[in-house]
Amino acid sequence: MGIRLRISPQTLAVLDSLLEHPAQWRHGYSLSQQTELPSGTLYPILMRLQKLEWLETRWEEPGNLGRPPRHLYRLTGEGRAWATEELRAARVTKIWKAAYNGA
Amino acid sequence: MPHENSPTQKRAAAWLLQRALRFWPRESGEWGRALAAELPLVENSWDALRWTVGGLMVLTREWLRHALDSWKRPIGVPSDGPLESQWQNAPRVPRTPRWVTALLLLASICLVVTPDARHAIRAGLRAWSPYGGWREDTEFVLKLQKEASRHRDPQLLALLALMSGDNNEKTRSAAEAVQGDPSLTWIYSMIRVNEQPCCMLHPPVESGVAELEKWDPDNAVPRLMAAEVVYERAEKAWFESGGRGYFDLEKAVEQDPKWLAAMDFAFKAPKYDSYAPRAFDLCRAVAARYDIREPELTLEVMFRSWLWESREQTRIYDGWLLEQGRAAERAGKLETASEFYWRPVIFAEQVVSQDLNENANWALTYVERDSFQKLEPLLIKMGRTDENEIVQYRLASLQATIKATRWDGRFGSWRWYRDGWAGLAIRTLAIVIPLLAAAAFVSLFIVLRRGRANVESQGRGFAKSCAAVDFCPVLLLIASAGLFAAYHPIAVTYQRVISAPWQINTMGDLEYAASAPYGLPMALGEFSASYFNAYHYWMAAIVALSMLALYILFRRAMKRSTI
Repeated sequence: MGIRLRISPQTLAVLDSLLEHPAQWRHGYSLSQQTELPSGTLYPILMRLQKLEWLETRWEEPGNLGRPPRHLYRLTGEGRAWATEELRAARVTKIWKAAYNGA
Repeated sequence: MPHENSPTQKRAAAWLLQRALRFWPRESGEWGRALAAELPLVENSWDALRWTVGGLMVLTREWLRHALDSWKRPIGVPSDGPLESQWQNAPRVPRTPRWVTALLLLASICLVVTPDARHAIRAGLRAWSPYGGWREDTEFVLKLQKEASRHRDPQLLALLALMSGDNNEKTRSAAEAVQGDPSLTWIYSMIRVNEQPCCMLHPPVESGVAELEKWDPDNAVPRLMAAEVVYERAEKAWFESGGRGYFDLEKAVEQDPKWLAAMDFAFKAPKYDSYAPRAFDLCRAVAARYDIREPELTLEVMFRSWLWESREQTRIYDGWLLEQGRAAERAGKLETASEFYWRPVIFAEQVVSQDLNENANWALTYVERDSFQKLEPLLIKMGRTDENEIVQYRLASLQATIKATRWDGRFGSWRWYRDGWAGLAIRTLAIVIPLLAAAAFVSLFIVLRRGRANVESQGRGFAKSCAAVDFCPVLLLIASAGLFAAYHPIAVTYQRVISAPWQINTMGDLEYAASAPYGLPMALGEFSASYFNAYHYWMAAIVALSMLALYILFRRAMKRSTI
């Protein structure tokens, strides 16, 4: 696709969080809470993952929620394979683990 | 959305994010809404504010990306317009990314606004009409006149006196200039009024000549001018008496003691200074002071200081001297005859050695040759063989010079053709660049205006405008670069001459800089001089328009027949 993803510790944190329950749809705020990433960092990562088609998105069914429907995210099959590989490589080289542990 | 008991910060955060959504680029608007949808679920009000600030950062990033991406699309193709999906394949949209178009136009503008290019365009446009001398309505002349009326700068006044076409203004400016700076008295040597048949019989001009004689008493030039005054007075009387028998006029002048005394002094004067170098220095000083970059100013000064108005007086006096020599020879006074024959030679050699005036030098070559032709047999008769050998050598040299520089009957001077291709490029590009610039900006306007409209309502000219948006900026840059490349060496040459800290002893560079825009390649120049006049231009325009009208009628007729 001509787009390269920058594998930063923050991206690895998001991937790790998404891989925790890969079949489950996740909300932005819960991802933010889990990864401790602010919205200004989290959403650009999610947008890039979606452009690479490693993240699928959908909107919550509009119901009688009393609030607007939320945007939901989970990794695609290809995204899961790639994320698993990237996290494994990062753990081997200790790039991500050190950063994550330090956070 | 917000809950009734929401703290102020949370309400402010929600309000801010809702407002920000309005500015979110359409292609990533979904993410803005996603951010906003999470806000009601953020429990802590300060966290909500931080969430909003993060959202605003994402908005800024997306907005910048959108702006940058828009430069990659052609002009007139909006990201969300109807053409977006078509521009890759449709024939009726521009193809060049807008950043390329902007870069091309910017580069062209940067080239065209340089002083060299601006002057090249003005000079190129002027060069389409034959060089007709000093134009008092050109921009830089008007600027000089304005400056002169404001500052009364003696040097500027002297230059305007030299160039003005108005007799009163010419003489008044000269007098004021000399009054302000007496070292400019030489300007009187170049002041002649435009009156037929005379140009010296104007009281201020005559008094100027008298003043010049006093100011520079050893110079031959003021004496030649005094002789010119006498000659013109006789010529006026001759005109008034019916103007018959030109030969009688010359005889009458030759018998005028005033004229003879003036010419005798001029031919014996220790110095010959036509003041041409001073005129050029004046021109350089004024051009530098008032930032005049037009070489035409210098060209005009060059023409005027090289006219060599004394040609007629010199010719008559030379004829008179040779006649006196022949008379002495017939009377057996060979020594006296040789003296008469030598005098034009001495005068000519003095002028050639002291003055750079090519016209004078060229005319005096003939004067010298005629004298040597008389001297050669006389010296043999007198037995002065050594002297005769020198005369023979010099005569052969002069004849070779005459043969080499003889006018070959071509139109104009070879100088006009020397830099012909540069001249042709400058005058052609001077027309092409404004046309291309107009086409580029008009087409841009049309495409920007109609780009968002439906394809059906864009009109017939839209496709042509799209093509113009793609091609005109490229062509404009090529044309601007071509003009700059063609004119820059000329401008550099002119500027170096104008700003040189020493006196210029050769006029070649100035001549090149001034005449290059008027140049044409040899073949074209001769054709232009032979056939291009107002009548031919008019006829060519009529023929071209008639052919265009016939072509349009033919196309219409063909369309009807197919229906």
